[in-house]
Amino acid sequence: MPDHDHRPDQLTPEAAPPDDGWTGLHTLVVCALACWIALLWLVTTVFQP
Amino acid sequence: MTALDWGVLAAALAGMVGWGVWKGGRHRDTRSFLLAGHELRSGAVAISVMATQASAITFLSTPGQAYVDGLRFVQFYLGLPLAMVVLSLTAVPLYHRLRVYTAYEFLESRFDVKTRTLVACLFLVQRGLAAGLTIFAPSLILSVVLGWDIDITVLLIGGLVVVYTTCGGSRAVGRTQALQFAIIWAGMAAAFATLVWSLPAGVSLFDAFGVAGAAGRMRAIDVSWNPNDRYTLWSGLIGGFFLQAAYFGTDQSQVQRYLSGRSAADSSKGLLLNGLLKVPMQFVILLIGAAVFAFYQFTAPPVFFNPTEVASVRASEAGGRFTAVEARYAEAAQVRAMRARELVAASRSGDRAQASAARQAFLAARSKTESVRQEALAVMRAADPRADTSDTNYVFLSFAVRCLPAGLLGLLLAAVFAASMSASAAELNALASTSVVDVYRRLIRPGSGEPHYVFASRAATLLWGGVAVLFAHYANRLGSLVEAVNILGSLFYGTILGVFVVGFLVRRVGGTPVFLSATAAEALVLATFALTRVSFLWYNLLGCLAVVALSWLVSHFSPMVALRGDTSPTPQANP
Repeated sequence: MPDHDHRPDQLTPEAAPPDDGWTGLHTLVVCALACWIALLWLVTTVFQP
Repeated sequence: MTALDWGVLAAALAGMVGWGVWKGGRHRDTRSFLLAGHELRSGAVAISVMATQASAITFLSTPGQAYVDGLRFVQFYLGLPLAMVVLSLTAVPLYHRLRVYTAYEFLESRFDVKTRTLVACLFLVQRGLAAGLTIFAPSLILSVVLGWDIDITVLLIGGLVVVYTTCGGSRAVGRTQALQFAIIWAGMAAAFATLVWSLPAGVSLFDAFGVAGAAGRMRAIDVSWNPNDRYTLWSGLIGGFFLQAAYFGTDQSQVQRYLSGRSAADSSKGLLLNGLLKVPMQFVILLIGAAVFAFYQFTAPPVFFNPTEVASVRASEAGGRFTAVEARYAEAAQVRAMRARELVAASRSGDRAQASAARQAFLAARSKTESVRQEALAVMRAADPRADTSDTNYVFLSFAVRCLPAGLLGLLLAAVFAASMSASAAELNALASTSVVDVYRRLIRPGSGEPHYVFASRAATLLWGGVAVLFAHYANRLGSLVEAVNILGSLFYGTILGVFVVGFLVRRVGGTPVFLSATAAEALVLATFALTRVSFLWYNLLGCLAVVALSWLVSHFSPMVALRGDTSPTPQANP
C-alpha cells in the first residue's frame, strides 16, 4: 500500500490531542523574547562608542 | 592549585558519580533505562535540556568569545525561544502520542525504514563526533592552563560519565544533571563575584562595561543583512531558529531528555521554560566574558593566553625576540590601563567633549597594544608555523587560575567537569538508544526480550563512551571550540530537520523522494561548507529548504517514485 495514502493523516501534528494547544506560557515566551531583544538593543545603544 | 581546591574538586566529582549511580536505580526494561520511566516533571525537564545543551565548551569558550568579539554571539540563541514554541505545539505531542523511544521511529511510521535508518545514521555520525569534542574541549583547556596531562583529563571525564550512565541510564543522567547545573552556576557566580571584586578601586561594574563598550565589546545586536557576517539579528532569528528546531526536535540527545517527562504537557512546559531562560543565561555568560575583557583593560594581561604555546616559543630560537615583544606589550598595556582610568573619570564628569577625547586616547592605546600583540603572534608563527595562535578558549580559565581565591578555583574546575559530564552523559545515552532502538533492535536482532535490550543499551553506552574518548584523543586545532561544535552540528541539522518538516507538513511525499532529497541536500550543504564562505548558521536553512523543495519537486514530477515506498510492515506505536 502506498505509504502516503494513510499514514500522514494519522501522524501530522494536528492529529495530536487538543489539550496541547497554545497556552499562556507560549505567549510569555514570545513576549520575553521581544523584551530580550529590546534589552539587548538598549545595552548596545547605552554602551556604544 | 591548593589542597582546598583539590578537596573541593574531588568531593564534587565523587558526589556526582555517587549521586548518579545511587539515583539511577535498577532497570528491568528499555523504557526505564532509556526514558527514565517517564518520571520527570517540567522543571526537571527544563534543567535536563539546558544542561545537555550547555557543555563545558559553553562555559569556557563563550566568555572568551565575548572577550574577542563582544556580546554579538548572544544573537545565535534568539531563534531558540521560537523553536521551543513550535516544537511544544508539534513534535512533543506527536512523540508522546506515538510513545516512541527515538525521534527516528517517527520517520519509519511516516516514510519507510531506509529514511529512518539514513537519518539515524546521520545523527550517530554527527553526535558521535560531537561527543568526542564535548570531552576533548575542556580536557585540552584544563591540560594547557593547569599543566595536566590531556590523556588523564580525557580519561577522567569520559570514564566517570561512562560509569554512571552505564549503571543508571537516563534516570541517572537526569538526576545528576540537576546537581551538575547547581555546581556550574555556583562556579560561574564565584567567578563573576571575583571579577567585580578585582576591579580597581573606584571603578564600578557599570564603568567597566563602559570601557568594554568603548572597545566595541558591548554590541549585542547587529541588524546588518550581510550573509557572510556570522552573528546578526537575522541570522540568529532565522538561521538560529532552524538550527535550534533541528537540534531540539530531531537530535536524540535532546528528544530523549524531554521524552523522559511524565506527560506531553510536562515535556512541553520543560521546553518552554528552556525558551524562557536560555537567552538570559547565555547573556550572563557573555557578560562575564565582557567583564573579563574590562578587567584586563585595567590590569596587564599576558600577551597570549595559551601558556603551552608561550612556553614553546620561549624555548625556541625566537625566544629572545618574543621576550622583548612581551616587555613592550606590558608597557603598552600599562599605558592602556592609565587611559582606561582616564576614560572612566571623563565619562563620570558628564563633559561630552572630554569623554570623547578620553575615548580616542583609550582607543589609540588599545590599538598600540593590539599591534604589539600581533607582533608577538608573528614571532610565534615564525618560530613554529603550526603554532595555534587562537587563544579564545584559554581567556576565561586563565583569568580564573590567576584571580580566583583558594577553594573557589576548585569549585570552578568542578563546574567545568560538571558541564562536560552533563552534556556527555546525555549524548552517550542518546547514542546508545539510537544504536539499539533504530539499528540493533530494528535491523539486526528484532524480537529479543527486554533484559537483552537493556544489556545491549548498556553495552552501546560503553562502546560510544570508548569512541568519544578515542576521538577526543585525536581532535585538535579547531579554533574556537564553541564555534567548532556548532559548525559540525549545522552540517547535518538542516538536512535532518528538512526530513522531519516534510514528515510533519508535506502530506503527499513518500519515502523514496525524501530519501533521495535528503542525500542530495546533504551533498549541497557539504559543498557549501567546502566551497563558499557563507556563515554556518545559514546551512541549517539551506539543508532544510533543499530537502523540502527537492522532495516536493521529485514527488510532483515523478508520481510513480512518490508512490513507491517501502512496503515492509511498519511498527505500531510502542506499548
